[in-house]
Amino acid sequence: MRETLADTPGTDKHAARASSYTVESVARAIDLLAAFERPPHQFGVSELARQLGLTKNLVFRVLRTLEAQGFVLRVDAPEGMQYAIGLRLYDLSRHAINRRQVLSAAARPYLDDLKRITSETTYLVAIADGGLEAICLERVESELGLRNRVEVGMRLPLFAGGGAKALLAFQPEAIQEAVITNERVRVLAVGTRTAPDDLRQDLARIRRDGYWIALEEYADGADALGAAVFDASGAAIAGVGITGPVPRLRQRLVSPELRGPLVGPLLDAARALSRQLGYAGVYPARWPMPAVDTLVPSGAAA
Amino acid sequence: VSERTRSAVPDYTIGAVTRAAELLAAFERPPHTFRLSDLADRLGVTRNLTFRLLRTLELSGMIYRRDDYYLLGPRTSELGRLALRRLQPLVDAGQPVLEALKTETGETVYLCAMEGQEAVCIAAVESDFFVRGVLNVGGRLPLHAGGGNKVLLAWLSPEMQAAVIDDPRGLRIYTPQTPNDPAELRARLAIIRRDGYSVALEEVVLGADAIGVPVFGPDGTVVAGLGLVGPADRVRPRLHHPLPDQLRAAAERMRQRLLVAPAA
Repeated sequence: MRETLADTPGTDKHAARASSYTVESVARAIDLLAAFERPPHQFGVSELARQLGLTKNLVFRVLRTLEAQGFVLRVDAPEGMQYAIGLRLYDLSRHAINRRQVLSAAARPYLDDLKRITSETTYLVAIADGGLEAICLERVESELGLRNRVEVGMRLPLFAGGGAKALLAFQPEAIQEAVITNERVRVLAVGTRTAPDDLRQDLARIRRDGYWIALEEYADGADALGAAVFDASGAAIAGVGITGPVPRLRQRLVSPELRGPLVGPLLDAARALSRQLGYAGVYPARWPMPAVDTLVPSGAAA
Repeated sequence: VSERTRSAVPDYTIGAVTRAAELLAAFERPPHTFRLSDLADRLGVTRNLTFRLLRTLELSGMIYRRDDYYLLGPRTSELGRLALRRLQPLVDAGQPVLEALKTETGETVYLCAMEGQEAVCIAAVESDFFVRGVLNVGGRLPLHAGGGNKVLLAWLSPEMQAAVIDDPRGLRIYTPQTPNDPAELRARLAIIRRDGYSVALEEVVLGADAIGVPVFGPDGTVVAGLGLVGPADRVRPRLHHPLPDQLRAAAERMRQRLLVAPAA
């Protein structure tokens, strides 16, 4: 139990001593705000102190400080007086960048590079709201006269295609099953695989190889390849893909010798983007995700 | 104990946390993205402290850094959404009722509720007319003026009512029609409680009339205000008939939905 905060009212000189790069009392205040992310999203002082391993006195003072700024407010509850997140944070949130925007911004240079290397359209997908589809977050279009069109905001299936299928392969099993047994699974093109057992096999193969080659799975005449992107927690949060017309891509994708110049840069990009997002484990991540205490120590490279 | 400390109100606040909150608030101003030196100047603190505050906030995702520029990060976005979450059961119960009421009346309709000491718009369905009432969902609403919002004030406890009406800063004036005399406002609130609805003639926005009724929860307390707002030429002729009956029927449908909904 932390007995005191290295800080006194109205000053931060003691906090400054605790670390030269961060401010201890502010870090505690953010921990406290983060505690409200858990249901039921409102708590009394004692409960917060217990959750955070801090003294009630310190929690009280941090709450008072945050309350004065409108970041938390007091609410009457059957259990007594409790605190909840205040509307001031709602005001601020309207100007905040969200996780998807962070991801798009981080991915953009990698997609640019990948498009320059391959000359084909490159794209980034994430799981769309609802969990059964993918959504395109970012794309860099090929400059060639014949090209595949992917638009930002476009909904894509998770059970077919390059980036989306690679993303699906690293989702929790319950999500994978919900997607592949869903009625939306249907033939979209000559190469679409729809049988649940075929799809399970494909997903296992993606986890083994670290990438997926989709031959006319999503649209006739279009081939693609994709790999998953992981965040700091090791969760697959996006898929990066390359897509192009069959006449340009098919021969290169089916030949193990010619595949390297496409697969190599794709994996480099997916791995580097994951690193930038804070992922420190092996690439691709192990599946299913190991429990927290058995995670690979940070810095262990693929 | 010195004279000064004895007379002072005890200050339990933590300076660095207050500075961090002020730093976050600084991003409300356009262009919402700043360099370290801009932020240090605005807060009037050293660059060293600004750097350490930014670094602490960045590590937790409250702040996001793009090269030399800082902006509010994804954690701030997510915490902000949590602020309205407690009111989600009301939104869920009210949304279909708002949709139906908007279709029936043709005007923008909304729900507001108390969050702490403030009224906040928690849901709105906008009219299809080109000229229409517009509300910012999540935004604060005045309690002493307007349709659905003034209804909330009318049913607040006498202590909370007094805190609003006798606010030493005075009642904010939005238009010449905004009620700003405490005695007159109290008289109006009595009428609202008697009639069961509140009308507002251009009280918040010139040209816009509004009406509000209370939404009662399963325990008989007022849980929300249900309001309608639109241009005076369309709304005023209907303010005392048939809008009050239409809104009251909608509030009753919402009460029924709250009865079957799981508790908040």
